[in-house]
Amino acid sequence: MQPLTLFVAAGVVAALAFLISLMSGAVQLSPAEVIATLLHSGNAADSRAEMIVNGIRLPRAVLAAMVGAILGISGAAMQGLFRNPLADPSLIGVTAGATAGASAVIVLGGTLLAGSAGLLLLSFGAFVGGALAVWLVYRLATTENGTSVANMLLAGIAITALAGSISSVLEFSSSNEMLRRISLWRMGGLDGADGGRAITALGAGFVLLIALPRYSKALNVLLLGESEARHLGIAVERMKTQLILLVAAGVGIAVALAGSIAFVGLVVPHIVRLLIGPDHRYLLPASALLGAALLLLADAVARIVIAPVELPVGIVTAVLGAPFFISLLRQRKAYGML
Amino acid sequence: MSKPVIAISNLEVAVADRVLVRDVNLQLHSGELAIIIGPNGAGKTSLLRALLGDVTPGRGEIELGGVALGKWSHTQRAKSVAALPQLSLLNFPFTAAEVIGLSRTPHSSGAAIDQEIIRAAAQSLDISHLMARVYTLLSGGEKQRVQLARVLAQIWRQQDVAPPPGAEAVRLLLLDEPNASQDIGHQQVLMRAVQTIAAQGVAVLMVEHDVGLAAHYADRLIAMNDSRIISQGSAQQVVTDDLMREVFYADIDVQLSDGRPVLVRRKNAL
Repeated sequence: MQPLTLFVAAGVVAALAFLISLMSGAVQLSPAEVIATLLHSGNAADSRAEMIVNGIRLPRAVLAAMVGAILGISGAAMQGLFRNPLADPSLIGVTAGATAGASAVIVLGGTLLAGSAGLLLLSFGAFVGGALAVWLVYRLATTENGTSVANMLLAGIAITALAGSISSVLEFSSSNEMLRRISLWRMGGLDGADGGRAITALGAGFVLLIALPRYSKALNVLLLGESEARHLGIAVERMKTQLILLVAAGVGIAVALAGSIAFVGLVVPHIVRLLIGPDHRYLLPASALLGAALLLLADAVARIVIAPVELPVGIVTAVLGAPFFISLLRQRKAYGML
Repeated sequence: MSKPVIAISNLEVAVADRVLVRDVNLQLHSGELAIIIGPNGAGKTSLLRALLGDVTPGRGEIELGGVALGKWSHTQRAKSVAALPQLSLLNFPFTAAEVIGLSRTPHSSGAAIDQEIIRAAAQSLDISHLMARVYTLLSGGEKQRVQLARVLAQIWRQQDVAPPPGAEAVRLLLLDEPNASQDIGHQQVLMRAVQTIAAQGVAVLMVEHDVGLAAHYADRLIAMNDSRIISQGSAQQVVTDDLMREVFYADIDVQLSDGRPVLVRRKNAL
């Protein structure tokens, strides 16, 4: 498939998913109603639709799209950086650290958690936890000879395990209600979406979408190996540090805003590679586009399937992602990815 | 005689307190094909890595084009020095053409010229028919030829070289066992391609385990043992019965054919 074809197709899918996301929910709206509201051409009779779309669904759709894009593009960059097709952003400890941070806030936050300030505090805790974990992983893997990718993988496993046991200790000492909150947070959800979160996600997403593609040629060369990349003129150490910081900040913000959402960062770059090959010049933007589309669709499904109750979106991405990933593993030989 | 492409003096390389290269003095000139032979662990690859700046020398100096290697920036070096590693780790499904194309990353010669170079490099190594195939699904020997084509394409044109002020526009090709997984016919194809690029003014330094092959093609042979250069010169000067017996511990008879040493296994040898 030509990259351009994929861009057009993924763009159309993402736009449709965005529209579906604005239409669907406890109150079904028609496409015409949604578009009229977005273009502010509605009259007084449409005020209900306008409130639903602008007040609730638009921030949520923007959040879903940006979180999906961040996870997709970060996954692609991490797989390139680690030269490992099975890498995903959680590998450097972001997700486990964020979970521990969020659990700590839930268990220790007490009455502070009530109301909307609680959600903010929870996001903050998750971000700090994620950032701390990445910083530790990075420090452990860095010596005076530079950052070793293999050590980073191992340190990531160790810090993930450590953060996991911190979370477990917190859960062990928490009440039933706290346990439920922790486990709901873990499943990931976009139900806390509001204007502020949407704008935060938009900002983080834009920074990543502009910054990461600048590394695409260097990432291509890096797939040959680190010394080969150096021999081709790439300042490998500087590039590794910058990429890890960018991805950690992006994914940290995404996890803080929407909880841990499985499979987007892992599966989306694989789908893109299957379709157009591993060239990062196309892989990075296409992964962002497809990640946004996938999370928008998953969120729409999560809201519709047992409406008016919502499923956590992380469950839907895992249910959609796992079978796909299994089939991918079964045919990876033909795909040239051993 | 022109300035050497590379000049090494009193080089010592140590990694984790183990000295891997010591007292190495070596000069390579444009157009020269020099081949290093020596037993496993003699320091051959470490010497190449020092020339690439991958390991920092403990002592001694390396000059590239008359200027200290450290004065060359990453990009300047990438336009002058290309290296083929023993082992390639690439496990992402690029096509062979894309792999070769990665070599043009440091240059800004334009897509049309790059395509032409990629095509020519592939043709010189008999891999034109593999260009659209996925690299990870090629055989070991084919992969190695694709990698060599990539390395050749990196320094294909003299005019792409951009040395730092005061340095000469030199080209250096470092090859670490390029023939390891080639059949005998493709060894000849490969060596012909290497000779061709050397004839265009590139200095080539190559590590080779097949002493017979090295003796046949080398303009200069360099024998290493115990992290030192023990002898260098023409094949006839370097490849002797003594070298075979005392350095390689091999039971080999060295004979001469057209002035070049030929190795014959003794009848009663194991």
